[in-house]
Amino acid sequence: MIAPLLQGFLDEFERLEAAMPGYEQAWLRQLRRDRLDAFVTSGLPGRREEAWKYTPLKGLEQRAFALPRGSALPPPLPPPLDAVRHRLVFVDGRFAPESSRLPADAEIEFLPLSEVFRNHDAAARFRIARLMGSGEDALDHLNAALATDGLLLRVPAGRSVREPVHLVYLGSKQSSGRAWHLRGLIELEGGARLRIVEHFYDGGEEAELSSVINEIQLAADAELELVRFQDMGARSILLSRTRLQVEARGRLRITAIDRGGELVRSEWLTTLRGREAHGDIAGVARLRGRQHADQVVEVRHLERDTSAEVRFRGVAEDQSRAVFTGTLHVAPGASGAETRLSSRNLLLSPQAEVDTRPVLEIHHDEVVAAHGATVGQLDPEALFYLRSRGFSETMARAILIGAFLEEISIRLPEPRFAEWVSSRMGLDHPLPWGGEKT
Amino acid sequence: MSNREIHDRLARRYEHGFETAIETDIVPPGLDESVIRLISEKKEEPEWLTEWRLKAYRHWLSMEEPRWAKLRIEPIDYQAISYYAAPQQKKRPRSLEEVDPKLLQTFERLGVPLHERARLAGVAVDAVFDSVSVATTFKEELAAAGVIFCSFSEAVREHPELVRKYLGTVVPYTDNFFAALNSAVFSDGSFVYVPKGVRCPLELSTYFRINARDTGQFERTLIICEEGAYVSYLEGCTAPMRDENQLHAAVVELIALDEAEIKYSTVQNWYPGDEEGRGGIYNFVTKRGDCRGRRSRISWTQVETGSAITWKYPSCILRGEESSGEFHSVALTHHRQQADTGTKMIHIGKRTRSKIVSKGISAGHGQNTYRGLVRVLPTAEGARNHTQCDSLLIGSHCGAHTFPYIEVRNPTAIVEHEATTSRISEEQLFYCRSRGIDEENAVALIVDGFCRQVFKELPMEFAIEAKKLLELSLEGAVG
Repeated sequence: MIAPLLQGFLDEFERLEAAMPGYEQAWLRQLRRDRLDAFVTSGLPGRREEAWKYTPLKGLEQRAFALPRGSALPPPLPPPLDAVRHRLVFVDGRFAPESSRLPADAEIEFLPLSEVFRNHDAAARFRIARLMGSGEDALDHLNAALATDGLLLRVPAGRSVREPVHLVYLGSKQSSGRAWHLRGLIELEGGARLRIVEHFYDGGEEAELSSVINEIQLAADAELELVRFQDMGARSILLSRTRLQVEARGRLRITAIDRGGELVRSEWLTTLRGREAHGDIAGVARLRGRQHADQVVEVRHLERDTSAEVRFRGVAEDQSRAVFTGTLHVAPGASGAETRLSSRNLLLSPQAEVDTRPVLEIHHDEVVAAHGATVGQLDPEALFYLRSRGFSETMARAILIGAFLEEISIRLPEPRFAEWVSSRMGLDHPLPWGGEKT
Repeated sequence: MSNREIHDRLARRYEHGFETAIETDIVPPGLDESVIRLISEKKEEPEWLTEWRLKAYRHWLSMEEPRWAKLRIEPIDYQAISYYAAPQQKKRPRSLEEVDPKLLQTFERLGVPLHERARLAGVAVDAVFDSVSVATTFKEELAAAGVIFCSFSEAVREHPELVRKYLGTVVPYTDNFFAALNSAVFSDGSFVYVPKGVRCPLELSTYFRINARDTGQFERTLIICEEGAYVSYLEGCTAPMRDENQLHAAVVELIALDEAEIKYSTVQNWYPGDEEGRGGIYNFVTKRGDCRGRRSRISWTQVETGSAITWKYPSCILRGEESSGEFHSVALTHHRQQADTGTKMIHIGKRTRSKIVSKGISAGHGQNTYRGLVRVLPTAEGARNHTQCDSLLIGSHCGAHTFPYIEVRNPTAIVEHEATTSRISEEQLFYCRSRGIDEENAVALIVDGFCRQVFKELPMEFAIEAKKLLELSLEGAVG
């Protein structure tokens, strides 16, 4: 018998297919059906699949989710987001033009994927067919079959966009058990520069499943800084995958904060394709309650003199589980590659768990490659010192956790966002992601 | 150096590649229940052991070959292997004098001290030729101390109660595909029992030799150290040069009770195949130590230079309070050799400690993978682990990979892992050469320095052998 989740998606697809944008395009119709078939055949990954060893999704197959219908009213944006100049808002997996803002002088080309699905020329068709066809595991299939929207963003050659673009992924939570999917493509042409701030949050505590797959391509000499702040609701499941391709001398800087959600998988799959391409990827998982976060980073060095630095910090309290897998891969011939990774973790409760897998795959000798991983707890002496200076236990722990994370948290670009992030985390003091909820 | 010379040196590289012409009692290839009964019968085994083998065989039939390792393995035809080969002897030798002189010569050529001169080395040796143990030295001396050191078959005959009590308690026959196969068809191996409070007066050593064609070697080793006892055990292995692959699937079980200590050292030099990757041994081994008692210690040291494919993870189950496990490894892959090796440290008891030092060297087209698991269970209050694994790459076609798995479920545990990858740099070589050391020797020197941390864990004779082996194995790697 077919699992409820698979059956549910099959039924929903049957009902809603004709209303999906681009249904009139035969190629797209076929592609969606093929990918849905492939998804139903493979099912969600289980424990025996190496990449999902610590985050098996088989159990999810017993639940069912409905696809969103109609357009939901977007909840009001929090004040710091309200004030930003460039923002693209997606609600329940659909572009929300009324909440979005992108002035014509932004020097960015943007189109919602749904629009391109309906109406495209041959060149655009090639681009989106590639986008929808990429990837080959269950998550890629599911997302390609059911994503009806997303973003297509392009920064033309040589342009440098000064104001960051905020991408807001929002679940309206107007009803329980919804599933939404988005797929996007961000292209930086030669020498272009862009800053992106991604926000994931939602308007309630209902159960929800979402998948977001984005491809990001940096042409030669392009520079991208991307910050993600993920603060989904306590019953949200988020499966996100970002594939990044960096050409010669391109520079990438990612800071990913995973703080919310019940079950979150965030993948950063990076390929350094051109000489001297550079990737700097850092992240934090700050988990409480029964949260489970699985952060995956992969850096593939294909060319000479490419370099990468990966730093992740995990803090697991209560019954939470922080999982990290970081793979550094150096291809044959990638002389002069330099690649480093560190995964440091604080395990703060007897019921919590930390699993970390730093992997090196080195196929060339002229390289510098190193990784390190630690799992430990707060230094009792430092804690004692702070207590002896009159800090409460809670405050002392908050200070030490804040210090542990500071190496990553100082990377957040704008102070007002850093503050807002702290407030979203329910902190009543300025230390980012430090303390207990009050 | 001319091409011819290089060729000659490479061809000489595997010194133990000769074959001994000796009459062999060999069971025809193929595996079914009757073969297992036949092996059991030949070895005059009790009924319970035959049944145990059959249970393992039936379980094996239900299993699939594992595929998760980072290895390229030609399919193995389990029906083409002969599961039992023994040098033919009229009757069981009572002393060394009765052993076939040809066999003794073989071990002589291998440099295994079976004779009196071994006394000087202070090593008691059990020699396993194909599937059976041919000679064990210094039995009387050991017996005086109360230590039992004999072949596994002998232990089954003489000490069935001990074998029955401990066999399969560390590696059950259900454990994995190759352990199940071994449990069904194992032919011989060594058995060591050190009673309470005894410090074994000699280093114990087993020498394994695969000689016959189309055979697999499936030995089984069981070492038990009672309260407060200590033993140091060494094993070495070689095989003739052949173009086809031969399977070696051994199981080693170590049991350490309260305050006991077992030191297990391996210098593995099975035939690695030629430069093109033809032939060589598939070394698929399950080794596991169980630190059952409080403050017990198990330490694995391995130098892996041979085998076409090495696939083994000597592990420690740290059950007893304050027990500790160590793993020291040098693994070298040259030409087309592949190795996927490492360890598992399972922390169960309070304040258990483990230390892992792994040194991987890849040259030619060799692929070398460290794969290790450190698991801290909620009961392991105050557990501590430190892992260091370094890789050295020689040449631009080889690969070095590191797959550590760290799973921590106790907030008082401290686990640290670090890994680096480097190569022999031009600067290092230039420095040595400017001091008048030729390239070959310079490489040997640098590699020796890289491995020092592991070599110092080996008993002296083995450390020298290991160093020599590494130098031989690396000939032709640079230049």
